[in-house]
Amino acid sequence: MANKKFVYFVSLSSNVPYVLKKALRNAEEEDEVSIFFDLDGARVLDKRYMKIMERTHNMDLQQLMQQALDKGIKFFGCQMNVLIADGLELVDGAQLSGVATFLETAYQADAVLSY
Amino acid sequence: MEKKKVVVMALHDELESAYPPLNVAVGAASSGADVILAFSRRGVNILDKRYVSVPSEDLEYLSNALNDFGVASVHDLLGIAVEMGAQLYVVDMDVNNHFEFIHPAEQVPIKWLLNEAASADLFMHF
Repeated sequence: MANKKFVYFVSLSSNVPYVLKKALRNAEEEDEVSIFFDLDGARVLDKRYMKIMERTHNMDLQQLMQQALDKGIKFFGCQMNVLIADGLELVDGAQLSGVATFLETAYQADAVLSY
Repeated sequence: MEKKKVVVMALHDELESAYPPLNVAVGAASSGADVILAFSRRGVNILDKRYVSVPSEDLEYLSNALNDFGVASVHDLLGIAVEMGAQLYVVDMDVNNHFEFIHPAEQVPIKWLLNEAASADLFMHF
């Protein structure tokens, strides 16, 4: 049984690795975690961005994201994200959502944290 | 359904920090929640008539992306939030003589806001 419900709101891609590490720790404690990616944060949900990361950095971020998805952490990309205008190629396992979904999830959460 | 109470606080004025609190405030207000939208530190600059939203270094692409996508400006979004019933507050601020509020905002102590946050269904700060 899930102990607590955590919601992370990430609007900066540079904060994503930190948030994923925190989220994985929550998941290890059997807590339920949802991560909402908005604005610059949503870049990590684009397969093309992941390819750039793969070339210029190591695979750490992609591995972290896969670990998080495997642990049942939910990824939501802001439906209105500006990156979608030029064709966001959503990574597998992530879904698009609007502010209504965010609010619904956030109202049920024990903690809502923004980064 | 019970009416929700949402408290959102904007602490910064960079473009990428200004949109999220306003988006959440508009979303919550449009779904019928009572919304308190508070501004502190640099976030209060968003309320100035002369405010221009500028992204942080390395995020300049966001300005173009928002323009290309036709997204409402920060001040447009703020106007929508007010129209939807969001209440505006500034926290612990010494308003200087040159500050021109685009919408009326009440000045409150941080303690007041934290009390409101404690009884809210959702409290977020950006």
